[in-house]
Amino acid sequence: MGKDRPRKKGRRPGPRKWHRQWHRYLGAVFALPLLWLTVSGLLLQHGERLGLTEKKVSSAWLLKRYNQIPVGVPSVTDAGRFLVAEWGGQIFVDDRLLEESGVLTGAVALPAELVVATENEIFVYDSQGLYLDRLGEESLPAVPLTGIGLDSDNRIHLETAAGQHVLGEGFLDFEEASPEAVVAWSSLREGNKELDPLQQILVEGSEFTWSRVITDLHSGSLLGKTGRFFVDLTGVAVIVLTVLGIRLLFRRK
Amino acid sequence: MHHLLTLTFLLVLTIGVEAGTTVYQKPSDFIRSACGGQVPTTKYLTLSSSNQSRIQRLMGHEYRPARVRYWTYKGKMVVILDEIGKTRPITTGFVVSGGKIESVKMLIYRETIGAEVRRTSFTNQFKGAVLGSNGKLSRRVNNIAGATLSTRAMMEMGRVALYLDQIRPK
Repeated sequence: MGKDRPRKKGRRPGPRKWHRQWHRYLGAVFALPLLWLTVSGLLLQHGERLGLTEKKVSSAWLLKRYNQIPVGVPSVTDAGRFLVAEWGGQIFVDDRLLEESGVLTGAVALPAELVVATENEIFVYDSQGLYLDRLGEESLPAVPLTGIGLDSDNRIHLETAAGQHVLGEGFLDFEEASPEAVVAWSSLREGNKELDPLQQILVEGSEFTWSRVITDLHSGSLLGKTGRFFVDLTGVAVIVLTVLGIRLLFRRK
Repeated sequence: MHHLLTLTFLLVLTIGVEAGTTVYQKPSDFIRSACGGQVPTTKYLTLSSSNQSRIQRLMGHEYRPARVRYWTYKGKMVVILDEIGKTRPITTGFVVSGGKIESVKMLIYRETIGAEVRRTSFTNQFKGAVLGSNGKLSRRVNNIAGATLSTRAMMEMGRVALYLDQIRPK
């Protein structure tokens, strides 16, 4: 741009000098964020061609940011030949993530069925893992369920605030359990050992695409409120830079 | 300044509203209300592969459980069904009598938006509907703006409830 006018000693810098300085500083500070917005915008514009709308995110860190991988330690129990786990409300049987969810209370295996109890529901699967039945609050003596176990006759016992009950055939009804019944209760343990394999299941089963991540990178949402604020700030900086640039251009002598 | 305060208040209110599960009526209470104050003995239907494929046509997707629980009282069938609205299941109770929907009640809602389908003005539209040979409800159900997916889920469940009433042992 043009030369600055000579300034008298002790005088404050003139408007052009001030504009030029701000234009320079703002440009320097917001160069990287602008590059970030431009690149992410271009990626979004051509996302389909680049396969970003199909390509799944396989980064555990990113999936954690999207709450697709829970925090904390899974609860695990053994039910016959099955390993049943719950992590952040998601239920797993062996290496399979179930569509059903809830806070796991326990699980028991019958000769032909796997019965998974959560606080509010019971899910029944066959030995091949096919989803057979769901017992909701309407089919249970009370909720929340605090325990599930098997007696020596392979009958399912439930423990709730209403006492101990035993489920009838086909789980269609229930009756109060005999106090003498010897029950092997399902117990939960902390699944520190299972944490990595479960995380791997979630990563492999993730439906999150890169397109979503790039969108959130562009809007700053990936970094939460701070990120969105920073993108807003960059937007304002672009406006200020444009105004200052135009003024500098047209006030040149 | 006044506008700024209002805006801040609205913002705080919006942040404070969290997605959660709302139980409008416990399923057992719905069954009791439809069955003279008691929960009758539970019955279940085991869905054959032809039943499953018919349900799949009615819902537009696979229906996962192989069994469906239901309750009967004076010839009426009460069934509680779950169907995904957008991302979470909507639990709804249906009372079917003589092949017609007698009443519908949304029991548990887990989505963030669209709970307007619980309104009686909406659920009353199902009353008297039968399942046509084309697999559609005989009565027109008007959509609720902003709750399109929930409306669709309710209609799918309505069709399935009527079909289950057709195939249950009488």
